Amino acid sequence: MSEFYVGYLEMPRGVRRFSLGLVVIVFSVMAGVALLLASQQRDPGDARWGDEIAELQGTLIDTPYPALLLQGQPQQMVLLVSTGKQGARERAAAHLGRSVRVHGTILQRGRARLLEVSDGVDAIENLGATIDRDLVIAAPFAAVELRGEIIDPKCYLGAMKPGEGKTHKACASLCLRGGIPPMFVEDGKPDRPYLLLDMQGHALTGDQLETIIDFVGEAVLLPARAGSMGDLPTLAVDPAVIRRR
Amino acid sequence: MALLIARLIVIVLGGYALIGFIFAIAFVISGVERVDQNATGSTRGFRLIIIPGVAGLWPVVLAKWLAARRGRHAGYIGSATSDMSLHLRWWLVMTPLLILAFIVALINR
Amino acid sequence: MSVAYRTVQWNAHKRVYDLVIIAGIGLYLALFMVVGSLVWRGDHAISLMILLIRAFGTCSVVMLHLVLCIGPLARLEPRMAPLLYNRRHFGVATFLVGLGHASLVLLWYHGFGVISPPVSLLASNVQYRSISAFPFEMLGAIALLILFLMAATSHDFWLANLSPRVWKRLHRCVYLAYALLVAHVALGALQSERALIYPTILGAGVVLVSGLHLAAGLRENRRNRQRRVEAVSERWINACNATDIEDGAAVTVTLPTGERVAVYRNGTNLSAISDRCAHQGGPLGEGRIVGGCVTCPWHGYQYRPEDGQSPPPYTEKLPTYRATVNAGRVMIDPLALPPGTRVEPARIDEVNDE
Repeated sequence: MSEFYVGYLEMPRGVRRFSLGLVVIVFSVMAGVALLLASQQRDPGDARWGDEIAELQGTLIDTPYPALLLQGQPQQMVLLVSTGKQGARERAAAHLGRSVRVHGTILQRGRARLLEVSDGVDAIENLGATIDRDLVIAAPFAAVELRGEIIDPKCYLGAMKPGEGKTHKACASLCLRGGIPPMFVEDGKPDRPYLLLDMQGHALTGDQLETIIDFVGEAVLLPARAGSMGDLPTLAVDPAVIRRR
Repeated sequence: MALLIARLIVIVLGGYALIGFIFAIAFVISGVERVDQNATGSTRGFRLIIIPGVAGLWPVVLAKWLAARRGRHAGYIGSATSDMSLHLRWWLVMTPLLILAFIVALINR
Repeated sequence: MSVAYRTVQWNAHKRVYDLVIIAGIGLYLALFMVVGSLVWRGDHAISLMILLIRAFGTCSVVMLHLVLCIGPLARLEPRMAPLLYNRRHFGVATFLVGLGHASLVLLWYHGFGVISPPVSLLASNVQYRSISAFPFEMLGAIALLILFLMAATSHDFWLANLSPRVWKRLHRCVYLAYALLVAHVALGALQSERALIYPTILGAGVVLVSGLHLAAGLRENRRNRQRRVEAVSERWINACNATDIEDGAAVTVTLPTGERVAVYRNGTNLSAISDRCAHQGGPLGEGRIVGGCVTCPWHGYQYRPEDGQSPPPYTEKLPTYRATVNAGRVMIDPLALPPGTRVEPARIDEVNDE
């Protein structure tokens, strides 16, 4: 008669040998699966979250989104966000149009960068003078239809790696809801995100922003008008015509 | 709208869990022996380990507690074959569904 | 069981079993983290938190596959019985690893925002009508809730107090949890990860789990038909030859009513009891007589063959059947007697002219 296993009695020899073999097989399978899954993860990109607190000096604006216009030519615009998943609109409000020095962490991917303003009231230093510097806007002109993904630039430029795709969708929608400006990454051009604006060139808000949030993190087809603000490429979009691919 | 519904769900579920947790504490201190005499003289660890279940299924446990005076009859597990064919039927239905869902999800990515 | 409850009824095998589970989880997580941080390094490094989320998530998916294979494997190959013996702890471990994944996700993807993490989980994506955009997180959350209910009710206290039938039904919801989890992965991670290895491994897992369950179910069905026995008179059913039954073991037959009966031989005594263990429905006919008692192959629950009762202090009871031997054939009265009814065993050398 074959061996019979009872949990609370001693294990029969054959069953013991069989079980040992099973443990070896199961461990090998687990190790193999861990190895395959871990090694085939997609490239999270080369975005960098700065190691130290940086200082940037320039003129503070908040149209269309809170940003710093750096001195020098060509004009550089650095978007500002707060710590956590929040924009910097409220913090910028007291210093609009002023020359300021902002302390924070630089998030960078390729040429695209962003400044996370440090916590605390002294993170934005008012340098006194109000400098009349206008944002150089190249009005939206070319009509384009781009394939790509709407992203939240904070995660995408280095807060999370990877900071795009379906699994990041919920986080990205939380970021956009918190006031971080929406951007768009065209397929094959990961280092050149576009800033998204409404058709009048203003910030996307309200229902339009909600529609943008519906599509964030997904592969979409985006009809838009391309332009630029300072050194940042922009896309003026009507959210109603965005389509899933 | 979605936010409103989400908040409502969180409040309802949170309330359910909170009531369940408070109930569970009371139950393991004074109710468990009345529902199941085997719990008399049971270890403290046993009482701790059933807390999550009591908190999660508190309406069921409450009903048992209230009915405890009438006596309990666990009953026999039931006949054998119906159970196995249920298992087979479940997998006969589920396997094609799983494969279909899998393919649909892959086509759409 | 009818002795005072303890936290866990440990014994040597369960300890070894649990150590193996913990070692397996540790091995998987460590390998995933090490390989994950070696493959993408420097500026291309994956965030530590995201690596952890992926390690825990994939680990619990692998574990659920393994735990779901145990049932059918033990049906197909009796030497797999030790896997089944402590399956509950495997299930609880699977839930805990899944909980680790969910907690990290809630903190990392849903935290630090302007709305609270649980509200964000429910409201951040409501594209329920889309396939590619479907809120896959909810599928995982419901699967985890099912695993929680199972883990939380895994103590024998729940088996006794929810009744074995309800308990079994609740725990069969694991199949639903599995389906939800497959959809969670297919509509989540597989939408972003482009490497072919991910759908390949998940597909292989689905085929393996479904295939094993179908194979075990079909075999069980076939066996039930083969073991079907017919009535020879108004009262008696011809079960088998008395000599077909090995001493200390049983022959299982399916009555015309569909019930299964285990006919046990203990020396020269023959007794017929229900095939279904009162604990979790284990196939008693595949058990043995150990220490004079019928012993279930799943968790070692014991019953006296003559009255279907567990020896004191235990209180489980099985329905019994009248049996007799006629011209070398074992005859069974298909009328199940109330659980625990004593029946005089038939004797293998007995001659009965009824």
